[in-house]
Amino acid sequence: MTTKLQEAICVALKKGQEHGKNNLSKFEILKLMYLIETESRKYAGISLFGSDVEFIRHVNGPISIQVFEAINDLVDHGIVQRWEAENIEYGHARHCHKLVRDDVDISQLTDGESVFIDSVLEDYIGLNISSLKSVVYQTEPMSRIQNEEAEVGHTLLNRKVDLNSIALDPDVAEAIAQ
Amino acid sequence: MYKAGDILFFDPYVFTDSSAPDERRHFALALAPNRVTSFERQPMPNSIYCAVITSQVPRRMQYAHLLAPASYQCFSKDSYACLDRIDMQSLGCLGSGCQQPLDKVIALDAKKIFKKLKAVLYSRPMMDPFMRATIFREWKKLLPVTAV
Repeated sequence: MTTKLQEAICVALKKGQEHGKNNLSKFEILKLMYLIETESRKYAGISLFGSDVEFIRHVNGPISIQVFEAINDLVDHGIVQRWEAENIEYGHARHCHKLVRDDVDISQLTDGESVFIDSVLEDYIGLNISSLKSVVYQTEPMSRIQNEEAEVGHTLLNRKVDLNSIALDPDVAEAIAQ
Repeated sequence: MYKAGDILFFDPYVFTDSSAPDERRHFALALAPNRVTSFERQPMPNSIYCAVITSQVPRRMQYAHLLAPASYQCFSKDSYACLDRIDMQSLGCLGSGCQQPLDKVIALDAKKIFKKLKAVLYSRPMMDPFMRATIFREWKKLLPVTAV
């Protein structure tokens, strides 16, 4: 039994392979899941993963305990393979993740949700780490945190990322108001 | 992969909004990219969300958009994208005798279609909110960038 979050991770890993990425790092998975959730709130006006999935401000942007747990669960069930690879440029080992099963059940996601995830991933999965990070930092909740950080003069580590601060896309808002 | 704004030809196009099963050859306008095909899903794997295109003048013109043959070589006469007649189509029904997609809507039409789509999508309360969100998201990419 998988969750929507786990299924989205599997879809991302599969899509990564289709775009020539043999594996995705923990950083990439975290940021892609974050972007799916933020865009969901922006365009659908609701959360895709549910309010149980939270993100906190970390050194390199938002991280989520629930995403970590979802990855661990997929590894434990033999659906995802994880290994560490040396990354001299980054200075830390890269935690690589690869989908090792093709028969993953993605029944938790509705047709609409799976199309939406595909739409978001299509835009961001090809980005390199720094571009992905840049997109994430431009999202509304991260911009808000960075503004606060500029005022207090230091990084607000472990601050909960306020996903409720995401405004509806203006065209969506206009359509609802009609 | 097919994207929003692509003009496709189905043989047959299956109408899902009519009370009795109805299948005919039709052009259609893709409203969103074809869904995740990496994993087979039931009941309709490998499908795409479309609005039917017909050469008959629609009854509800406020929800239709004229695609003139002068702009689209695939049409020999005035054709109308009926934005209130939306169906999920199997890509297996795409006409095989032609290069798909046949064409793509031009930016000016995309802008006008989006305006009508906005009204149609929110007049359907039962519609999957993420399908609606995808159509919004994808259609916005087709719009001409306006100067600030």
